[in-house]
Amino acid sequence: MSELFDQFVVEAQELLETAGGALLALERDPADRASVDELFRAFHTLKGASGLFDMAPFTRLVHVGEDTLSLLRDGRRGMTPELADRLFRALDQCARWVAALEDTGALPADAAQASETLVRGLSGVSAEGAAGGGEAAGETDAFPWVAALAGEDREAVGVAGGVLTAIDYRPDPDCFFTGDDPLALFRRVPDLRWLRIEPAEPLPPLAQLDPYRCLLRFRALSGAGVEAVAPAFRSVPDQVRIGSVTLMPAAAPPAAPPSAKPITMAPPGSLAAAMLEEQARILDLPGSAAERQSRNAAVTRAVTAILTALGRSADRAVVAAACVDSRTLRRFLADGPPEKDPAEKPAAAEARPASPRRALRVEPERMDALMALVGELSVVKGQLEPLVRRVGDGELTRDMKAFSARLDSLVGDLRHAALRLRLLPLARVFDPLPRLVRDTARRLDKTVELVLDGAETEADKDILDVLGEPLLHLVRNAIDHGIEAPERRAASGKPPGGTLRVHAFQDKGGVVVEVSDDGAGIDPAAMRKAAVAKGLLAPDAAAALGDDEAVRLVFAPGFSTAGSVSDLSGRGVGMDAVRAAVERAGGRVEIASTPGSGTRVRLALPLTLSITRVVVVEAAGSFYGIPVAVVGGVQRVPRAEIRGVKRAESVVLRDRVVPLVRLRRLLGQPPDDGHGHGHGDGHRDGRSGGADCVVLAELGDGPVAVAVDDVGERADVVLRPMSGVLRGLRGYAGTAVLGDGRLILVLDLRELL
Amino acid sequence: MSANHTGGPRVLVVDDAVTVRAFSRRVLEGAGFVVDEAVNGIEGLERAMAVVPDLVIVDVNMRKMDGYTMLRVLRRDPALRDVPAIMISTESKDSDREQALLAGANWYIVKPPRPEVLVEAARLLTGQPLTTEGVP
Repeated sequence: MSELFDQFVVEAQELLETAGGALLALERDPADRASVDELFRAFHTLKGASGLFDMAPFTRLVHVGEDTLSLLRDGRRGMTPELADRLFRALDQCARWVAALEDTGALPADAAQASETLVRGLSGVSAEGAAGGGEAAGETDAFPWVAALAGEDREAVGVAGGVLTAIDYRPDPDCFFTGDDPLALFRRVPDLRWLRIEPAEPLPPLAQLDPYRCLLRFRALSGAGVEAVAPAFRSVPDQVRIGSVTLMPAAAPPAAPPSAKPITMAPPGSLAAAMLEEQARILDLPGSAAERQSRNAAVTRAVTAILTALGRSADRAVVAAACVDSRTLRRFLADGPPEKDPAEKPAAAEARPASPRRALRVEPERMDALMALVGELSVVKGQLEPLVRRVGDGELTRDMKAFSARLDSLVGDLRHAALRLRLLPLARVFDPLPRLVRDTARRLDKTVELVLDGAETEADKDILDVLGEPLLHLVRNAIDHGIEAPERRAASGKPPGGTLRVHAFQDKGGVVVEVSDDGAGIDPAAMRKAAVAKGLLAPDAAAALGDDEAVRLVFAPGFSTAGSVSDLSGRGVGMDAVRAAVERAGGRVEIASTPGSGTRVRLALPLTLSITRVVVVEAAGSFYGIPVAVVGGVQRVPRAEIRGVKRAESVVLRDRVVPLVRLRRLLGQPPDDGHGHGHGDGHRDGRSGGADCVVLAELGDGPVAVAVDDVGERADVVLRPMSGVLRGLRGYAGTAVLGDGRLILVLDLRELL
Repeated sequence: MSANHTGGPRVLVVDDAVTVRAFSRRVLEGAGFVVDEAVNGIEGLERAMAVVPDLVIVDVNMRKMDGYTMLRVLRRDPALRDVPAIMISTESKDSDREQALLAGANWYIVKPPRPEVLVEAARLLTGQPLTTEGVP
């Protein structure tokens, strides 16, 4: 059943997600019928699906959730924040259980207890709104035999769906000597509905049977409450279990009216007999002429089929003649079979329909393997070109060139397609936000409306992973520090409820997420003051900061603007952590704030971590890549403009003095003598005239000019981490293969410098 | 004794829970039925019109179109109105059963169904000889 189980896990996750969204919507607008229905259906479906497996605590919790929602749906109970809290808690618990089911295949050991607590919470809530909205399933799970009661036993008990008290008593084998009389105990049970006495274990052969030992098990059901039943067993608490249970009605049909003749065409008590009986009943159901007519047609066919299944010949026309009302059909079913041949069966057997479209789950390792293969393919393809050149001129060469070009474009397409496989919508990181906003705002007594835009924007899974935490932090932060309390907002002429907007979009081959609020904004003066107070800046340095720079101080390690550290955002993860996470992934964080009207934080990330856009540079005859993310510009600088003080060099670029480092030196290569450095540079006059190629690297601590021998193309490469003997090398982000098959080392300039 | 998998009676399972559909498919295919699936009443009707099943097994509570409505529409369709139908639901009250029969069901099963009960009911309503073979 494991495949089925996996399916359940996936379905349950989806349902819980849907339910969470519906609950949020419902809390916002309690009159939202669609959301109640949605929520109800989610609980309902979870109940049905979980019932297929052995997870009673889960089923019980969602069952009670469903009951609660049905009260809501029928207007017998209104939505309150407390009720929402409890339903959220139930959903959270279910989500944790589903996670546990996915990991271990079973509910955790404390599931029954956890379920009970939440059930009590929900029932308490549902009871206070609904008079007599009674106790749900009870401890039915502890008495599995109750649910298994069938047929006469069930009838004897009498109540369907009623609450009963179950008793399971195994007397001490020596009870006759201790003065207990098991049967007598049951005589004292009020409203005893059903009692079964059976051997508690297989009885020994008669010759070895000790008649003075009690080897029996007593099971009973009473219509009285637990508190009324328990006193009878006060003397044997260690041998008895008593609990309240709900007897679910069996799927068996109601008994036929006493006047009816017994159906003789099917074995008494069989499913077939019950079904035939039901068909007779259907014939008497009320309805329009058309309705009854079509029901009769269905009954005719069903009866014909059932009789055929039983091996009785059933002529459809004869059956049809009997299917006019229940009396006629019963008579027909009681009076024996008519003699004729059946034999009509609708033709069936088409191709099985395609199963519904489902998202494919792919292991990340397999994706990586695919990307690696695409990389290898590029390398091999790159080797084709020189071969073609060696063939020389001729028809063969022309064909091979065409072939090579075609291969080129195919490999490019393949690469692109493989990359796309890894893209996922940002909805994944947006999903937890509504709940986070709701909980945070509720805890802080603020009203916040969340607007999500661009959830369909796609980015690589790695990027989504990077984005998740910072986004949560920014949202929490905005509600905690940005959006003011309703009174304060009202005082400054704003609507009492704040608006938080999270907007994602693609920009310049990357993905951008903006988190903006209409809160108090950040006061640059306060930031300067705080920076001085915290000893981060000297007073004059702080005063020299522009407003924008002062606001950007929030990203400085160990900075917090809150007067008091709140338990929400002040817990270790600061804005500096947001910045660090984003920059680690090759992205940037920007902040813009207007005191009094709000703050906007902008996270810009590459689309993917596995593809890096690099500038290819050459130094000492080897090729290297510098990630474009850190490149502020590339230019040629006449040697004369490079000032050297001892071995430290600098250059004036864009009106700033920028330190200059030589890549050859960084890599431990001999310095360039200014003349021939190996590769074809004949067309570059500037160089022999004494100029250096300089890549302006924008690193966290200001720009650095990196002098290289030559600058080549920009390329998207798949970055592969350094492995094997290269692993220990510092200063490299990894290796990559260029489209033409050349292998390059991608530099990590931050580390290298 | 069980029919072969491609030629057995055709059962249309309509349920919005993928787990329940998978369960029914497994159980019914194991007993020689050919199983079609649909996720709501509307899809159920479309599927039913396309394949004309020998039996439909319908859940009650589904989005877009619930099981009651689907059965009512089914019973109005000249080609489908006599197709035997089982309604399957988590509700066990007599009133729910009654409502299912009124809508056009021939039989009512409370979820979760026991595999052998599901198979026996399906065999009876499709005129398949009863056997215990193939019941998982």
